[in-house]
Amino acid sequence: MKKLKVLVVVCVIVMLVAFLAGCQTKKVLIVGTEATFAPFEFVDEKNNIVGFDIDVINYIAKELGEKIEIKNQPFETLVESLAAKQIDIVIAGMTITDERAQKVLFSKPYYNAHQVIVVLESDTTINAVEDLADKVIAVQVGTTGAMEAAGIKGADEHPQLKQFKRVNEAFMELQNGRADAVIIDAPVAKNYMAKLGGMKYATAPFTEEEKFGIAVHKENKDLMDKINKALDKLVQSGEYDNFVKKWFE
Amino acid sequence: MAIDFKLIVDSLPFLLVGARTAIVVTFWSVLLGITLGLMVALGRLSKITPLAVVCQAYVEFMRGTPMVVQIFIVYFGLPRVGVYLPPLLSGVVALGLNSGAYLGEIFRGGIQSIDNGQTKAALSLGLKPMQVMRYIVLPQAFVRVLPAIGNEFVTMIKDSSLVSFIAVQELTYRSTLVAARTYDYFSMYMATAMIYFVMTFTVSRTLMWLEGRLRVGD
Amino acid sequence: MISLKNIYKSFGSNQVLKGVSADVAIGEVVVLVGASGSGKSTLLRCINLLEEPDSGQIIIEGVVVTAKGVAKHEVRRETGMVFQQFNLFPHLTVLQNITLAPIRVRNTPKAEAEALALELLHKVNLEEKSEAYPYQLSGGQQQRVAIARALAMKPKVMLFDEATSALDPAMTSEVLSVMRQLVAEGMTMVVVTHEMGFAREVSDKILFMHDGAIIEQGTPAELLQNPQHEVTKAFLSKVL
Repeated sequence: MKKLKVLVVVCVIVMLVAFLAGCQTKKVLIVGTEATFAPFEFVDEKNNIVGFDIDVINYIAKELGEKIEIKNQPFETLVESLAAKQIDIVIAGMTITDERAQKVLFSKPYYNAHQVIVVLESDTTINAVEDLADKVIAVQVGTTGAMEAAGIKGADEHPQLKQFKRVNEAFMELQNGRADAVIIDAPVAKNYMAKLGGMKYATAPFTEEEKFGIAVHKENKDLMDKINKALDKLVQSGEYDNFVKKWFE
Repeated sequence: MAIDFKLIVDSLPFLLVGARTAIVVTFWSVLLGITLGLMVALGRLSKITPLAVVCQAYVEFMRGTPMVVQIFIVYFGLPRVGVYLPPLLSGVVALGLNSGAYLGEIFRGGIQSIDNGQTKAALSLGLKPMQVMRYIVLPQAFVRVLPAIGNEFVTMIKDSSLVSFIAVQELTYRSTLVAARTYDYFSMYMATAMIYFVMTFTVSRTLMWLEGRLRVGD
Repeated sequence: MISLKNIYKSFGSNQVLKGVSADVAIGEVVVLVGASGSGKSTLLRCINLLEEPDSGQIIIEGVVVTAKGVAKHEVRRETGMVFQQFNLFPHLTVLQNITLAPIRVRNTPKAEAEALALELLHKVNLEEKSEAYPYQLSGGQQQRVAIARALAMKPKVMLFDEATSALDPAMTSEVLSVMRQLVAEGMTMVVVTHEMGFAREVSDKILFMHDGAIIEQGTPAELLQNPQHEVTKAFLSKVL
């Protein structure tokens, strides 16, 4: 009995110390992302979160002289987490939109992408955006792809619009034949199509180019200035092209 | 961070449609759970060893794995072996299978709690074992496990939110849609929590009342 | 009518019956006595196969009921049993307690079963309690309902397993008077009891059990007034 008490006390102390130590290292910048958005961010074979965005943010962190910690969470919660100061930075293949810009502060665009419509190779019925009117569309909730799809269907909750927490689930839905199309950013589509096979683009890219931005809390203008400067340097140094080659070719 | 009541009021009809779906999912899941639970309980108590072992394995597996994983297996996994269930049915099947394991254990406990003298008396009158179960043991066990079934209902109302992961348009899914559009998570999820609470509170009070009425001579 | 031949029964390593043989004739009232743990209740339960003998034969009206392939429920519906703890079904009314088996086992029409039940309730003096639930009855009333319930199957023999042990003296006498009535009607009965006065009064034969065997038997006059065995003498000196 006595031994047990000692053990409990030791455990409590250890936990307390660990907790305090955790508080001490608060100087780390927390970077929120959603790691099913390959090749921008995804989990590799070794269970590390890697990708174009991760290389970019690591470069920026080095420029800033800051340590960062990547936090993987549902895409649709990223903006809110930033506003609530649970995370410091978001880099998640996030398109700069007016709605989002009201909530958070965006960097200058660091990547441009179109939305594309992906269908099964066997599909012959979808050749234009209009053909989606009576088709089942799978998307990731909170993405610009979801907004496009909601626009096509006329409502977020349309029964033929299935919104999943993760991109891979939307593609699974397509592969399982329970959705007719996925709407997603072109680089991500390309990556999943290569990996899963049996899919094709239904149309040419059907939206204007969207601009991806890095986001921080509205009050965090200083940090954003530094990030923008680091982005400039990234492009000038030629590192940006290396990252593009590494992840998109 | 204030609650946006206008947003809540405006989205209430939209959310209530989701709440109705949550109730539908819960109702069918628990119904399936009760059916499976009864079979599992009888299986575990049966003298046929392989049957008892299979039932026990089922219970252990369902209780030892996360519900959301079970939902994914049914919805995303089964198509790989040619079984295509629509989202709502997938949710009901997964939740029902899970509920069946928990209710199976509850029923087993309930059955075992019935005094052996009841079985002896019923057998001595010439009833067959199945009749003894049906007319004597189960009715008494059922009244005894009613509070536990009520708990299961309440648990299931809450767990039904997990089917939002497979795009069933229940309450949580719908509130996520509004939240993702408006970025007002606090208002939306407070409203959602209130709706869930009204549902669970209503169910638990109703069952309490029902239990009071059924508890005769026990 | 009932013949027990060389019955053995063990629970685990505990041998409870060690080669018991006995006969019960039609209309006979046989009382089993003995200290607790002597095996008398187990022997009684073997008769309606609530306990299955490890070896030996039980023959009821010429049928070897211990043989393979004999449906136990068919044996049991001919042998009514009354328990120490009454074991009424608490979720059913008195009337439902009594009609359940006739309706479900004998397929008696409900109206007919209820008429019989009311007749039996009249017999045990409880007709006004037909709609009551068991918890609303006293112990003595519950036991009389239990007797009516067993009788409703029109059994060929009634087995009483310490039917009055859980009752106070007043209630005991209510129940004993119902049992006397059955004796008067010529019911074949096997009774495990500590009521030696009752045994002396109504029984045709007393079997004295000790340590899993019948060590002495006879008419009440023989056994109670002139026991042969030392164990019997010691037991009777305590209970009489």
